[in-house]
Amino acid sequence: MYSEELEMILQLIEEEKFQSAVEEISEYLSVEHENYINRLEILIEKLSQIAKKGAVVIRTLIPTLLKNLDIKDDVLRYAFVLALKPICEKEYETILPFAKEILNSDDPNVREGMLQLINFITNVYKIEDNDLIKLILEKLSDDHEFIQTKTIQTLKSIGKNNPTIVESVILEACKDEEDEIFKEKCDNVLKSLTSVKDLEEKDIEKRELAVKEKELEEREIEIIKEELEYKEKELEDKEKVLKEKALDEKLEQKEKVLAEKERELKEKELEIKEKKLEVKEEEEKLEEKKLKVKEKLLEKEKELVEKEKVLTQAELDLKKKELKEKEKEVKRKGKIKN
Amino acid sequence: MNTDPHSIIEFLLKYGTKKQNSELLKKITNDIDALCTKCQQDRIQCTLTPLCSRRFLLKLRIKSGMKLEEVPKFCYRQLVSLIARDKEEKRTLYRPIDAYIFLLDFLAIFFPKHYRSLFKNLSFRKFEEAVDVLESFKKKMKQNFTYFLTDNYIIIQFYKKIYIAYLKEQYVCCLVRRDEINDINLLESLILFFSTNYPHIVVERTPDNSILISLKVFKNNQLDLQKYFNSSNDDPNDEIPSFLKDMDNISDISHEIKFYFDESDNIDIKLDVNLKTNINHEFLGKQSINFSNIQGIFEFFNHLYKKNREK
Repeated sequence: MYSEELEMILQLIEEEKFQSAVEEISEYLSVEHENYINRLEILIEKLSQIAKKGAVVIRTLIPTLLKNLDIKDDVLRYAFVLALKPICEKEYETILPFAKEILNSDDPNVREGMLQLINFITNVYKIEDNDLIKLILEKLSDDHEFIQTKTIQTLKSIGKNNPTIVESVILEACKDEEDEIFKEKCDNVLKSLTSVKDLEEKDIEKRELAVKEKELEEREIEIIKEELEYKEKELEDKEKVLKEKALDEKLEQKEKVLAEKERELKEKELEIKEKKLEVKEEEEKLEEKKLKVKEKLLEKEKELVEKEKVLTQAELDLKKKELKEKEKEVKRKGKIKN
Repeated sequence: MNTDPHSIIEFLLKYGTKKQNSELLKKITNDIDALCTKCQQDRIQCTLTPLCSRRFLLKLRIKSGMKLEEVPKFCYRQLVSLIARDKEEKRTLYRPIDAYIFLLDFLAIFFPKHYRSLFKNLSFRKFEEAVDVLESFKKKMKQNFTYFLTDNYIIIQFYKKIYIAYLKEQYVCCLVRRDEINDINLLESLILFFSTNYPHIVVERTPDNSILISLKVFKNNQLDLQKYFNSSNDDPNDEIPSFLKDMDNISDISHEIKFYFDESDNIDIKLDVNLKTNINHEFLGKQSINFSNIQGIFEFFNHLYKKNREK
């Protein structure tokens, strides 16, 4: 049921109807609801989603949200505090004005919650508000040990970004302080700040040394580079000379090879010419032979033709004789009949 | 140089002299105390991501006999709150399985109006008055709350969650699962508690401190046994028949299994269980029986019945 209401709120944010979304959330979170805690539990789950798409909505709701640091259920309260972490880191300017009032709350859980939120804020923001730091410092004398522990943690967190201001506030507070336990706790914070400061100073020295070392290293590297470049050039020149020599030698060799090949080719050409001439001679001889054979054949043909002529004549003569004989016969037979 | 944790246990159990063991245990105890102190210093951490997994060091402290004022207060408060949230079915960081809290806090969660008197009555074994409160709650919760009260224990079933209250030790094991049972009376009580849902079951204590469970499943109440004997569960990759798997599990727990059909095809089962299982413990011989093992026996019985068994 509540999740449906929240879905509707998310829908309003999606549609950029931020004013309506704020009104709906305020109504959703109204303390008059019977199951207020259950409603809040579901809202906590969706808080990051709302913050992502509706930063304006969250900004407006921050006072309402901060009122819920008094949830009795530890799991729910701490889950809520953790859910506020990304909001603290983004909207610290809206949250910090409420810090002093909340830190003075009667409820230790609320005070602890606010200290934790300040812890989150120090991740992204340098707290320089002297009054706020003084108020936080006062919590070192809180009745509850867990608040004192959280206060030490918070002061250390603020001091990480701004050790000088925290140190001066603590030293000022310790001036007239007689409570040894309070002083001891202050010492604890101061020690961590000193170490932070030492670390800072050492860090600066280290950084300077590192810069000088870097410069020297760079110069060394440059010199080495130049040397290398010079050597490279030398080597390149040598390489060039050697390459040219090698090329000349190669050319000479190639020329020799070519001349040799040319000579061989000429020899081969001459050989071929010789052979061609020989072939021609033989061809001519063959032609002569062919001609002689042809002549002989022609002569024989002539003879044959002559012989054929003689034969034909003889045949003709024979046929004439036969015909004459036949005529004689016929005449003879006719005489007989008659 | 890393010492293998197993070799430390082995040393304690096998080779260490009394003095050496005491020295070693002192070191471990100091480390545990330091861890708890460190954890509690950051309350967010202690609440949301305690340094010991699932606050098992609290269990160690409570089971070792520490009193409420001796256990880490804030951490313990978180555990009680977790159990209360779990009872209410609210979302929790984890399920408080086998978690221990003190009896008074447990009663405060379940019987907020009467917990002090109930605690007093249970502590002084004035069971008649205690039963009144338990019965009235049972009536209110109908089927969702049942209990089994003995001289030293109350076994409570709330919805499907089981809690065992140790009256003498004045602590309660919540959402019991793998917690070992080291008292034959408790084992018998648990078996009797579960048996109430089964018709034709007999639970007897044998002279050698074993519990003999005899169950008869009449033919008309039996499920399709062929299917149970021959086919596996719904998992297509699992080819081992459910019956064989059940028998395998039961044989780990029971020292004697008799499973037979009488002349009318009714099933007769006899199982013999005691405080030790047949499973070998890495260091301590045989493993002790736990709640989950007992649950396994009754799940096996359930497999033999049709869905709606007649009592």
